[in-house]
Amino acid sequence: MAYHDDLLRQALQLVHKEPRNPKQASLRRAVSTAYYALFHLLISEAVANWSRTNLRAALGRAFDHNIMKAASNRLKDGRQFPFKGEDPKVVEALKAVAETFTQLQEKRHIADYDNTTSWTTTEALAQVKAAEQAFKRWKAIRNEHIAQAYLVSLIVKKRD
Amino acid sequence: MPIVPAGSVHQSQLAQEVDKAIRKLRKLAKETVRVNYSLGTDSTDEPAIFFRIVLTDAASREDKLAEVTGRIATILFDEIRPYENWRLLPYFSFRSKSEQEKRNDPEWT
Repeated sequence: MAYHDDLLRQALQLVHKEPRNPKQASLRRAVSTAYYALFHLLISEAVANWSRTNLRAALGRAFDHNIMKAASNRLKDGRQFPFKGEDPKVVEALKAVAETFTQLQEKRHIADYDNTTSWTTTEALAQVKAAEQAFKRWKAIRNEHIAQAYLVSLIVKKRD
Repeated sequence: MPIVPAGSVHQSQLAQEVDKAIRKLRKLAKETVRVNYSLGTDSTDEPAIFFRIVLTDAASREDKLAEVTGRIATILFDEIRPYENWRLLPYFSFRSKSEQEKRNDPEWT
């Protein structure tokens, strides 16, 4: 099983680790792990286009959280990205994946660093299930042109 | 939570838009018990709107959660268009009714 799949499974296990009295450590690690599951899924999909397989891991190190967030946010703007002529279902799925990425990145930041926030099981589970949905959606659209263009945008810093 | 710099959004106009969206949400998504929101900045200092949504316990079940939360976020997003119209990044948090009753967290009340 791929690393990102293992991470997603682990995130779900962490949410359910102490069902009666969940520890904050488990819930917070679950949220963080869900983010990294999606982060590594997208990177692995992007570098899979690199034909020299032995260099893919090194290429994967080039991805930057902030650039990935900015690329994901740009898709929210229908005026900037109207996606004219594209299949609306594919566009919707891609936007949902990008939106989930942004959401999870922010939640990961809170989960990892903010000791003033106390998570409930539902709050953490919602994030893990969102990652799960993003995985499903991505798998349905991964070969579409706009999905591949999104992968490229994740590594390219936008020039103003 | 940090506050969005004054004047960066027309807050009363935004409040009207958000209230309208919440009213619509209550009609379309009966699983919604309560919606609160606040303005601030996210971890990368970008202006953001943070929604805190309390769901019925039934809607918070694991087999329902992804569908319900996705639908609610989509309704709010489509109604407000926070990024296109206000340059605000929207963030959504969900709790069950029983969780909120136990915690009685004022930000969610």
